[in-house]
Amino acid sequence: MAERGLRPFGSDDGEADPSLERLDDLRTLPAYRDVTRSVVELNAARAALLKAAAGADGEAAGRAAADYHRTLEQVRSALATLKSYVDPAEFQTCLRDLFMPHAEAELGGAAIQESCLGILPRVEILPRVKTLSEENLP
Amino acid sequence: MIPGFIMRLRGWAVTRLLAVAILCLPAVGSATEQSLGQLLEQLQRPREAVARIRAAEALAHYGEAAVSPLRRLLRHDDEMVRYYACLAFVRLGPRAEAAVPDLIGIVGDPGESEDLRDSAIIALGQIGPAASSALPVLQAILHRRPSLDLRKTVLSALVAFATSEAVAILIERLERGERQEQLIILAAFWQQGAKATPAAGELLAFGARHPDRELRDRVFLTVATFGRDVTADLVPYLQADRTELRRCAALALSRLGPEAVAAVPMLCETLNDTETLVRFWAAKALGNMGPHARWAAASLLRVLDDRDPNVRWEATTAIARIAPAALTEEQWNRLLADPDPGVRQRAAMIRSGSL
Repeated sequence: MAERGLRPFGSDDGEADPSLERLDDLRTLPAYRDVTRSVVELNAARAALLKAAAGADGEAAGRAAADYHRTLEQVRSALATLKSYVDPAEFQTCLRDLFMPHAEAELGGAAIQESCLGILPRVEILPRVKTLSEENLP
Repeated sequence: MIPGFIMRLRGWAVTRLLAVAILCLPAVGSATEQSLGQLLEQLQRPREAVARIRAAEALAHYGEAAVSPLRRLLRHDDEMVRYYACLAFVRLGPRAEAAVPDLIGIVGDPGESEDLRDSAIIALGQIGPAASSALPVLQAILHRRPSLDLRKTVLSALVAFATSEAVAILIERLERGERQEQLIILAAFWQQGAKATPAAGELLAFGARHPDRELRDRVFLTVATFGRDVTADLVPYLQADRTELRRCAALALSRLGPEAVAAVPMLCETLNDTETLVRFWAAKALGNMGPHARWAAASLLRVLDDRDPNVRWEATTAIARIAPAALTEEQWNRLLADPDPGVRQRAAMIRSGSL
């Protein structure tokens, strides 16, 4: 499975999008930085979970899954806070900036709100602890 | 062979598509070279949709002189002629006031097609408050739960009337809580802009008592599109008991930008609000006014010490927009050494002239 996490801002995807220029200001907003930080943690937790899932230690995978879900909640909470600090018209742009998947085509023309909300559950589609244990039984 | 009713439907579809051009595009500036008689004749020519739409458009240049012959066409045997006459009234707008009774007649006639009634309602909406005698017939349509398209047209016309009776009906519809209809009404108000100012107070009152935060935000932001005259309606909400309403008011004022300059004194007071989000949006509203709010600089400087980093960040941004020279070297140094990295980064960006 290819490594494909959520992308925090700042990664260079090539050409600059003029519509995102206003984000240069917002990216330093403390509430925005909190989301960025939590997205980085979520990506790290996801990578750890994938690694644990590939191993034979079901208990470690369970811990990694719990850690992943904890960081996912952090992202949601930070996003809810950010929503209060940005103009509703700008919030969608923030979401796109924060959660743009590596492959733009994945958005598939869906409304951005749905896409962004869809990304989180998609990341969440991971082996459950029980399944992991069963799979890893000798 | 294509059945007649399909041909007819296809004809309506094409006509309606073309008619959108009339409804959406601004009026052509130059007067027509064709006489009124020629245009009226052209309007009745069958199977020439483009020419008929152009004629409807051009007839508007004759203003009130075109109203009387067009009213006669509203009683024409051919439904399509009646339809194109309605289109001409759409373009004539308030100058077509004399045609209101005829248009009401079409709207209230259950024997007429929905397309024709729809066009007549659009024409009434374009006539504006002078067509408010159509209220009872429009209300009757709403009571019969028509198709969504027809409902949308009726609601948009009511918004365009902007009379107290029309607004009362709209508020009652908003209160019903049907999401789709709520969004249609708010979008129609948004489109009306400053012309909907008389409805601002009622709309805000509705938003204030509505439990859904998203809808409340939408109501306040819709009112902000009406322009500077709603500042007076928004300012009292800065002192509301509920935090949510104070936040909404400051958010809406932030959208108004320099047009909300009359709110500067109250926004300066709001910078001392007990709630973080309210202080944040008050600072944002002041910053969005730019130099117009320069006498708020002293109040904003005090907010640079706010306990919340987001508020300090926004106050820094606001001062940079209003009066960057107001910051002393000591204040710059404090900002550049702020405990929050975001605030430090923001101050550095502003200092380096990146803002």
